[in-house]
Parts: sequence; structure tokens; C-alpha cells
Amino acid sequence: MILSRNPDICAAELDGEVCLFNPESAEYLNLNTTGSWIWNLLEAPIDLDGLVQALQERFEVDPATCRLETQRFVDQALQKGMLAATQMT
Amino acid sequence: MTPWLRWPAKVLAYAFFVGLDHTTWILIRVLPGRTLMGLARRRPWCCLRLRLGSSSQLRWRRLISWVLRVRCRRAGWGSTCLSRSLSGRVLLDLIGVANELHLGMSRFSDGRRVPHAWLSDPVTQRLFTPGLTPGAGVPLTQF
Repeated sequence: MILSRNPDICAAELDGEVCLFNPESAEYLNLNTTGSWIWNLLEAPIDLDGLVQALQERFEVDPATCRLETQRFVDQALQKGMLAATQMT
Repeated sequence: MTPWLRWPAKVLAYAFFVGLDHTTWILIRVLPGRTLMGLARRRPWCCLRLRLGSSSQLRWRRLISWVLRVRCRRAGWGSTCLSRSLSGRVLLDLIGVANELHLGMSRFSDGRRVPHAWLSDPVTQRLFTPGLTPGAGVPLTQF
């Protein structure tokens, strides 16, 4: 599953933390530092494994926790329509 | 307009706007965000637009800007930046003045982040309702 940003989302950075606005549902979302890091990584479409790998280079965290938490973040972001997922063919 | 008529007219205009502001505030609470976004984007009230001469349009525009300015200064309960901007947008659309609604995220000095909405003139960039404090927020979108 390739993850990418939803192109409709308006994003801006405020003090190193990203603020998102979904014009479809009129929802605001403030990301924390880690969330902003993930958002910046998603500038180019990337799959979950690549994301976890990139995060492990940046943060000192064991692979299982990293994967679990990233999965949780991605699921929530997908649910809110902030990210888009494309199935690999 | 004769001077002795001017003040009652302003007071009436202000009272009308307070009513509109409260109505918009209630609508914002009641309607889902999707519907609200659609209304702000499509502006169905534009079909009621009045055809005004340029001098009377200018006079109405001055009155509406004054009402917005005063309302933003002394707004209390039952009014938010979004309700004021949206009702200002309705009024300005009715007299055919171009306006742009901005949505952004502002940051308070205690670090809290609060969404902010404001209204500006797309040509001169002058603000109808107060915008972000410089350096304490980012604009996200405008339409």
C-alpha cells in the first residue's frame, strides 16, 4: 500500500509543527513534532515500510513499537482523509 | 442623508448585523462542516445580489465596513471570527463587493493553537475583519 498526501489538504508549518485543514469536511488538525516529521516524509509517496525505516533513522525506537505507532497514525490520518492510499498492482 | 438621520441609521444597521451574526453563529453550531464549507464556497445568496450604482455601492460598502469593524471590536457571547466573517461575506456579496474568506491557524502566547477566519478585499488586500497577528499564525486557505 503506497501512502501519499491528499492533494486537497491545505497544510502550513507553524513553529515546526504542521497544521492541516481538510476543506472537504472543514476539519483542522494540529500535528505534533513526530506527526509533522511523518507529514514531511510523505512529500513523495512512500509505503509503510519505507516510512518506518526513515523514522528509525531519525528517532531511537525499536522496530515493533515504531511500526505499531506509525500504523496507528496512518490509520487515523486515512480515516480523517488527510492521507490517500493506493494499492500496489 | 441628513446628519440627524445618520446616527439612527447606523444604530439600526448595527442592530441588524448583530442579529445576522447571532443567526450565523447558531447555523455554524447546527450545520455540519461539509454543508457550511459548501455554502461558503458556492454562495447561493449571490442570486439575490442588488444592482447598485457605484456611488450607492460605495456608501453601502462604507456602512458595512464600519459595522464589521465595530462588531469585531465589541463582540461578546454568541459571535466568533467565523460567524462575523461569514455574515460580512453575505452582506458584501449582496451589494456586489468582492471579498475573500481566509482560514488559518493562530497561536496564542500560551502556545494554544486556535483556528481563525477573516475577511479581506482580494484587490487591495485590506482587511474587513481582523486577521492574524504577524508571526503568530499561518494562513491555510482562502477562497
